[in-house]
Amino acid sequence: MASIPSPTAPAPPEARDAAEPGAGASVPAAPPGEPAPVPNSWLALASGAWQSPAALCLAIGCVCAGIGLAVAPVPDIAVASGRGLRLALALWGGWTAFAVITAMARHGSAAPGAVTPAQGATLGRWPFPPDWQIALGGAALLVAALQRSPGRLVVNLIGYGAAAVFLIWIVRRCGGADAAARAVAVLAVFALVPTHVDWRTTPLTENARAESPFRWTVGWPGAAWVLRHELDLTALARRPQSLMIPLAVRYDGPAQVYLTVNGEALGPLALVGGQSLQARIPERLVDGQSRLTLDLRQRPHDPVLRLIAQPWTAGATLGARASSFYDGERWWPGTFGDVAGRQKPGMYVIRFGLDP
Amino acid sequence: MDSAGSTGSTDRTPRGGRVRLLFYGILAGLVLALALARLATGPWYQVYNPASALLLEEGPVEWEVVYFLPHLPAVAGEAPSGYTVSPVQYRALGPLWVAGALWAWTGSAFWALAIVDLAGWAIAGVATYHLGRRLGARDSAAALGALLVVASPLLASNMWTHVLHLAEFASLPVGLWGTLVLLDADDSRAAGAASTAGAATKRSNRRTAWGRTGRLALALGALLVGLSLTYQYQWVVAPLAALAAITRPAGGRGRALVAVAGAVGIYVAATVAVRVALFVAGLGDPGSQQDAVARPEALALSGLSTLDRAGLWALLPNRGHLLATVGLYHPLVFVVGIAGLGLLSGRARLLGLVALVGALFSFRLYGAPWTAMTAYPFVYLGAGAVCARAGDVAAHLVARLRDRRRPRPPPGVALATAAVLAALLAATTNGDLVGNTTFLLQWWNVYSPVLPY
Repeated sequence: MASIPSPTAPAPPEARDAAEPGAGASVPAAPPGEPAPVPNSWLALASGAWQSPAALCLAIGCVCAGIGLAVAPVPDIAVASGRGLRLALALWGGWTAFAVITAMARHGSAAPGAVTPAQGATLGRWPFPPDWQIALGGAALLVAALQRSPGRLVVNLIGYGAAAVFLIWIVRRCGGADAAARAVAVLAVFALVPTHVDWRTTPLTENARAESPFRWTVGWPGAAWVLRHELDLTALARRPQSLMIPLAVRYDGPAQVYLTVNGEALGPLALVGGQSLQARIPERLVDGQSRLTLDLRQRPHDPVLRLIAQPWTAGATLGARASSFYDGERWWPGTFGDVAGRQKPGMYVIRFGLDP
Repeated sequence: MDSAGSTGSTDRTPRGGRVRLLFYGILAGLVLALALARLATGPWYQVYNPASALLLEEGPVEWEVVYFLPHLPAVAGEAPSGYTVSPVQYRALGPLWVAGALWAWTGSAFWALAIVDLAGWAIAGVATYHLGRRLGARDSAAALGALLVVASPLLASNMWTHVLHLAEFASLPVGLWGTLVLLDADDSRAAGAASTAGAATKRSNRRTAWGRTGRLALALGALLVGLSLTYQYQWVVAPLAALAAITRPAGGRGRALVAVAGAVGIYVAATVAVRVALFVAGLGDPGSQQDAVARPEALALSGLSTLDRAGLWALLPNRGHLLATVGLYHPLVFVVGIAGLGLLSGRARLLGLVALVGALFSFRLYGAPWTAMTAYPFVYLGAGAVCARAGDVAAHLVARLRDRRRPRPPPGVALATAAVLAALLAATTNGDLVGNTTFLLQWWNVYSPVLPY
């Protein structure tokens, strides 16, 4: 672990050696009159690298870029180099952030009226410029990089500025000036690297994905298939009067889903906006009942019309037994992931309502 | 973990630093464990309202993530022409910026937002610990309070929703801690100046004092601006800062109050400047998302507008609000937490009680669980103090049982007992991890009732 001499407590004996420049390895003292032995250069290099991880991180980044280039189906030096550089910077940032947190933990800041720790602490062999200079330099580079896009520049300056001010204050107070300088350097790198990308496409959400472990699609693999969901009515303070079933994908085809409630056929569910199926639940079918059983059948068969299922059943009134399916021969618990062709524990996503 | 010195002082030895670092690691580990466990047992929101959940890059999220996704390209790309910053994004501009930059680093919007939430979750715990120490709590009490915050329903409920709530909620203990640090530092500077003021003239003393006031106002104002960019807790911290200023142990209360007032003025001016900058950059027209979230100032004004019709009573929280608040913490946790405020310093008691009353009024204006839990750092620090004290009592009893004449508390008994009690308190609101979703559903149904399915 990087040696971080505390400015307020005497350094233990082993740390004093490490604090001396270039003395990461123990060097046996030369006998009187003899020239001093040359320190083991590999050990000195390793110790120096440990205290100044930039070179080590760059090396790791280069190695990973090379590996990426070797295994990529279509080698692209620019992409591999970019990823390697990003990895190197991320490793350096993480390493430095850990050293900063360690420095802050050592100094702490809980006593009322605590004085800012002495400025003599270092977190490595290379001194950094003052924190405010690094922060201003980072801001200047941001302006230079984003000057052609005022909107992006303003958003980034606001975020970077607020983070820099807060970071400098809290790290300087808790860890010292050197720690603050390193912390804001990490922040500047964090803010500047994204300026070279131009991603304008908004990430999209989905209702479900066929083989997602969190929300998958379910359908009717055959005409005889039935999807069932059951509700324990004794667990409800008020009886449901309607239901809504969201569709996995928008649908406007010919197939319809027919609803049977506690054995009574109620006809097809209404397709609303191509995005959900809705129906009323007559009071006579729930009054005095302890269980509500919904059976869903599809006619005519259309694999495009699909519902949503999720694995988490703890919130269902009947837990893992809430949903089941009939494959034409027998009933199975849970759902059927028909893309993979196997049963998946889970439940259908259905919302019950009080509005008829 | 208890300090070598008196209550509130910091163990600055290397061992103290290592113990603190280990504690931070425990908090981070607990956050990761609780978050990843919920992917297996069910994220709170997806269990409460599966019909309103979505997928983002195959990861589970809540539908309101759509308020933030279009703004990631504003950080990592040239903002599209229709992009604007409405209140729902402005109040999360800080975490949103971090998420946008992380998206550019990682290429994954889902993990960018998740990392921001996970970091916020851990920061909430760390900040609560330091807030507790700043309020005079012992190491063990503050640490247990921090652990209880990490295990609290406020934070667990919003993981895997990706609406930046965890990062936002963490700003409260950070803001409170920062406020107390600034006021206490000003206190110590004033005391130091007074002790060396013998030769200085009165005018010079006044200049120095008002210079300190100006610097304090600037720092507090910057803190309020930061809070406004990481949720809306400036409305909570500013009144508590005023209260802390007028109850400071040393003199200069009037000057500190002026500083707080100045900070509010600086916050208003800085907020105007930021909004002008957004307008100039073409981002200021809020468009259709103007009312996507409730703003405290708008809620307060609309509440005042009902004054004539319904009278003053309509503005006051009622028994239902109090009972709901108790239920949101869990009755046992709430009672222990409030009782534990009595074990903290007078300053902590006063701030905690005022924060609790303020939370009730906030809940009256906007009936969301996180609004009712606005005093959460104080409640959980109080609970941590009770656990720590119970541990002391247990250790003392064990010592007396072993040797009545010279009882010596065995090492570890106090901490182990306190830890077990804290774990029991945490378990009351984490039953979903073992399949019991009763508390989870009750908690979320305070926000918007959803029929069981």
